[in-house]
Amino acid sequence: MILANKISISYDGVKDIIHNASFANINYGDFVFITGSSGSGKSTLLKSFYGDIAIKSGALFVNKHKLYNITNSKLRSLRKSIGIIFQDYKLIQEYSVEQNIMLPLKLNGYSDKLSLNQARKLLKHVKIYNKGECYPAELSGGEQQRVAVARALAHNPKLILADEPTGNLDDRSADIIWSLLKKANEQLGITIVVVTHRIPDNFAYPFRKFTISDGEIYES
Amino acid sequence: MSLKKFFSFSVPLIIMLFTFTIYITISKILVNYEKSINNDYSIVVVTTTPLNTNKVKEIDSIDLKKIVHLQREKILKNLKDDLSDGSYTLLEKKLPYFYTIQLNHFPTSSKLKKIKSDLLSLGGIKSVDTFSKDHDKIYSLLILTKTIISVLFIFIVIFTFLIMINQIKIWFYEHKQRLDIIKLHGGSIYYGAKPIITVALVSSLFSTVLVIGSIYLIKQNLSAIFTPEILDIIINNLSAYSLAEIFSVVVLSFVLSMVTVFGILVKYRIK
Repeated sequence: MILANKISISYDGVKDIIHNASFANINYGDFVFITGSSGSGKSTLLKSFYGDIAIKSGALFVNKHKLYNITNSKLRSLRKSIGIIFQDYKLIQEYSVEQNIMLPLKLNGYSDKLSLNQARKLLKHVKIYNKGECYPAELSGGEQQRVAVARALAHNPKLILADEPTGNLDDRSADIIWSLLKKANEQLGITIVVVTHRIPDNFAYPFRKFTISDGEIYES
Repeated sequence: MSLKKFFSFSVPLIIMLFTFTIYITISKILVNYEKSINNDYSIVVVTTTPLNTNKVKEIDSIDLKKIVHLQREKILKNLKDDLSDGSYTLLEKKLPYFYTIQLNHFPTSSKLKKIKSDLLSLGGIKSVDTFSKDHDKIYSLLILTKTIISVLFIFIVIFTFLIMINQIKIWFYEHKQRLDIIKLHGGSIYYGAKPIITVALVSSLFSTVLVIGSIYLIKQNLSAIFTPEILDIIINNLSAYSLAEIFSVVVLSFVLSMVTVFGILVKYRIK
């Protein structure tokens, strides 16, 4: 699913944030945490998985897409095949909740009717069924993140990447998000890769943990 | 699609299309008016020896339709009764040859000067009268109007283009977050820009229909707009708009709005 061999990532092309790093393959059905101190490069690494930052050297494969020198059309195809959750939710403010969830489905060529049905099912799943016609600004942070999870699940991806998904949430909302991600992994077999500065103490679920330190990636 | 955005696109397009249709209209009037005055116009050439028509044909500045030789015998016959035999014989010897030259196109004043000097450079030409003082004033006025409209049209096209570019840039700025999110989910810039492409298409269609409709209404009510002198010229010379002319308005509106939108999209895609 994700394979990295001697990858280097740099923002300015001079100083490497990740340097010549490799890690064991992330396989189908894995639940992975990527941790590290602030500025260690964990979000940068995650961004490189969906091509928001280009790797400087090495081999990186995500969902069978080679990311080094990836073309625009292949990058679009990779992004359409995965689900992404952001700390700041990244919901489109002009779209209703339903429309936000429908976005990946529409981008993957599903009909409006099918997309709407799927969006409504997911709204039930994330327990905000009555908010479908609301706009993101009308929801709480926890609710917005649940919409973002629903959006990430909408097109049945095999991989979900999450960047500090509970970073802006209170404990109760964070628990709901963790529970949704666990369910997605357990019941649907979706590979989950989460970047977080702290793994919750009560996270009672099997997972792999990668730590980034001094530009190196260690699995523990 | 907000009304404000729609009109900020449509208004410059409407102004440009109006200028374009005025340009087409004046061109049509001018062509027809030129034909009608050209039929009544000829240059008179007086020569001491018979005119070599081949030499006249060779002159580049002359777009020759025909040369008519005014029969000397007719002139002499008209004068015969009033003259003595001696005077008549002398006149017969001395009377020059008269020709009228008709042109295919009504010449401009500067071209008339050139024609006159070219004709005078031929051997045996005694005088050339181009009747340049009678050169139609309305025709000159129409040429002046056409030139002004052409220049104005070019400026308005540039102005429209710049306004539309600006509108699209503002739209991109306003919707940057939405475009970025769509991009992160694998959507193309064209997918994200669907609303602005729709605005451009609808504005283009709306402007075309409005301008063609307005021109039709104006044509039906010319007397309410123009003075009788101008009205006569317009009515006599304004033929119906051809399908090609209407199509050119549609194409201009569509092409300009689409080129602007897709030009900016390509620029953003490259960025």
